[in-house]
Amino acid sequence: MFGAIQFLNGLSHGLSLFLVAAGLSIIFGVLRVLNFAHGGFYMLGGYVAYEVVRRIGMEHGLFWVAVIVAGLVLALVAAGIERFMLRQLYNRDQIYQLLFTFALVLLIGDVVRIFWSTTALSVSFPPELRGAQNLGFTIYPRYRLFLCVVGVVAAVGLWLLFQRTRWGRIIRAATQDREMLSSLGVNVPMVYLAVFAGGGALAGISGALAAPALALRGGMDAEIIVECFIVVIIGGLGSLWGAFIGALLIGQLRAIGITFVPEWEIVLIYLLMIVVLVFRPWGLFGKKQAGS
Amino acid sequence: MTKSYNALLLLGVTLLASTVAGSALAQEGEPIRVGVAFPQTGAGASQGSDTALGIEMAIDEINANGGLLGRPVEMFWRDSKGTPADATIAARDLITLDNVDFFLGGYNSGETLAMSEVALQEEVIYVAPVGKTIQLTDNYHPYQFRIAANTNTEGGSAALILEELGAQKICTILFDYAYGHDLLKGFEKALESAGSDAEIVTQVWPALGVSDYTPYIGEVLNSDCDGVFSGIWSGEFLAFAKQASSFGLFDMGKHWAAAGEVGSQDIMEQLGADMPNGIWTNSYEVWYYPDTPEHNAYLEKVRELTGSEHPNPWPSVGYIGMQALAAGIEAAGSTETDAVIAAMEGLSFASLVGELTIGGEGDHQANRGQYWGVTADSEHPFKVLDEVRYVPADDIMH
Repeated sequence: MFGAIQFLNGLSHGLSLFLVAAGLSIIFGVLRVLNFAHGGFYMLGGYVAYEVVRRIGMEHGLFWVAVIVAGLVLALVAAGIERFMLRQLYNRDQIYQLLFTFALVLLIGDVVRIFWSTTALSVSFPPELRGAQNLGFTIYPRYRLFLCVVGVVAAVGLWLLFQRTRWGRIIRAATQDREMLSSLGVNVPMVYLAVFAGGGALAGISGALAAPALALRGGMDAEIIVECFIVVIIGGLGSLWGAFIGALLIGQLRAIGITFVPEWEIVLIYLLMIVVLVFRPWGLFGKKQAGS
Repeated sequence: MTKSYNALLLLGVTLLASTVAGSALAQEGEPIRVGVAFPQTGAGASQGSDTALGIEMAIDEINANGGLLGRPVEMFWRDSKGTPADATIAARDLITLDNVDFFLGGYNSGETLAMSEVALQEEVIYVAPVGKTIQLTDNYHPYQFRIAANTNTEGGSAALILEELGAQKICTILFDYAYGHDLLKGFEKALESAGSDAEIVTQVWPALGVSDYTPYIGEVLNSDCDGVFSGIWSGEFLAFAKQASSFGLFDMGKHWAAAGEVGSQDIMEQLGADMPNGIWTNSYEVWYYPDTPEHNAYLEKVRELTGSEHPNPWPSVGYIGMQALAAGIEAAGSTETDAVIAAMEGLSFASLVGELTIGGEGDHQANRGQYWGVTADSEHPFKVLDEVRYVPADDIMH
């Protein structure tokens, strides 16, 4: 039986995935850089949250401090990487940017191993979100419900940011035509810096929020980045809506797969990806590029 | 003329005497070289290092008691890094560069199978003290010996526990790779040979390395099973237990047998209060059972070496592996490969966990059982196993 619980499981998984995939997609949309290290940012966010919680504890409200610190630290890390390293590579062939972000993946993996060892670590649920909530039709863990709410709020917030603010207009313009934007007097390198740092912060926050729900361990970066790639391939690279719908699809497809065809659950997701790649290689919500 | 003849004679006698003395020395003092390959870096590094520590402990003890066959034992240690490729390199380097006569190693199944392959090619005896995969025995060759319990024993002992608890309908949560499928085989076999009428009603197969178990947990919640058999091993159990607890899965009165050595001290400490109470789980060894002179003597030494009051089971695993090899060499009276193989077949030896017997040709597995117990609160900041018992392997291992 595909019950309410499985639907909610798929939903909370999808919405959590969206937070990470959105950053990846926006960064690609503006900078045209496929950031392999995005999963590393996510993992680092989780470990930073762990470290903060270890130092200041878990009393009321303190977990949220850890989440904010993780977001800030990752924004700084990403900004530093963009300003001092990635920026040197924009005029080079795209393969150099790919190699660079891949090097970051290895680097972040080693940093985590050195500081936090290879054993799995755990962050408790914040006290205010412990236990389960009776929803009338089913009982569901509070923290997972909270993750659903965060995903929806983030989606609406990002949409408003892009559609309704001056900053959003500039970012959208940067995805369309950076030369024109530059000649209009907009400081384009600054936009790049802000977008990369913002994407990093989003990944860091997602990692911190995932920490209580999952366990922290080396390798969580690879797991999330593969899922994110599938999301943006299905949804369309550079599209916020694409990331949203793609993430929800993956979440549900996984839950449905486990319920009805448990041995084939992973195959199902890759099948969807192949179908999209064959019939709509630019993704469900992506833009078909000239020549492709 | 005579003088120079005498000088030549003297020289000859001296040379001859020195070679005789040399060969006598070689027999007496040339160390027996034992190779050890476990992860020192990468996944499994801490378990690998602790296992090697146990082997080192056993070797030190042997040397303190005059060595083996009157020869000292020397240990060579290389890093297998947790992957089959690196394990192959480590095993090969031990044999070709360090000239070891025997080697022990392998943390996970991939490493174990890779090292066994090297043993076959190089015709050197390999002892697997950790690897449980039944595929080692499926790909039998005479140079391999398994001293660990195998997956039949692990899955089978879980089946016997659930059967005894009275579970009728069983859910399985096993990793979708060789280990999980092997466990299920052992589980089903033991249920059948025990004449149980319990049946498996729901199976879920999370991929190794997933961090979100909730859809699988959802399936078990939706099932009407009254018993659960899980094979989510060690560190992976951390995420699983937290998620399952948040759904109240451990509070539904389902009988639970968690294979994968979740009862291991390192995992108990890692999970702390997140470890659910009242589930049955296994461990290679626990520091609080049994209260025998051998085990206590071992504990005293491990505590001294590790500085830990509650040592994890990994040193014991290496220790027992080395005990088996030493018993084989002693019984053979030589380090000759064929002689040691012949001596180890059918050999019974005294181990840390009592007498073990190694199977004959075509088997080469010790009848190593498993410790099972039910998780319970303790005076420490971690849970312990209550009602600990040793489930013997003889009826379920084949």
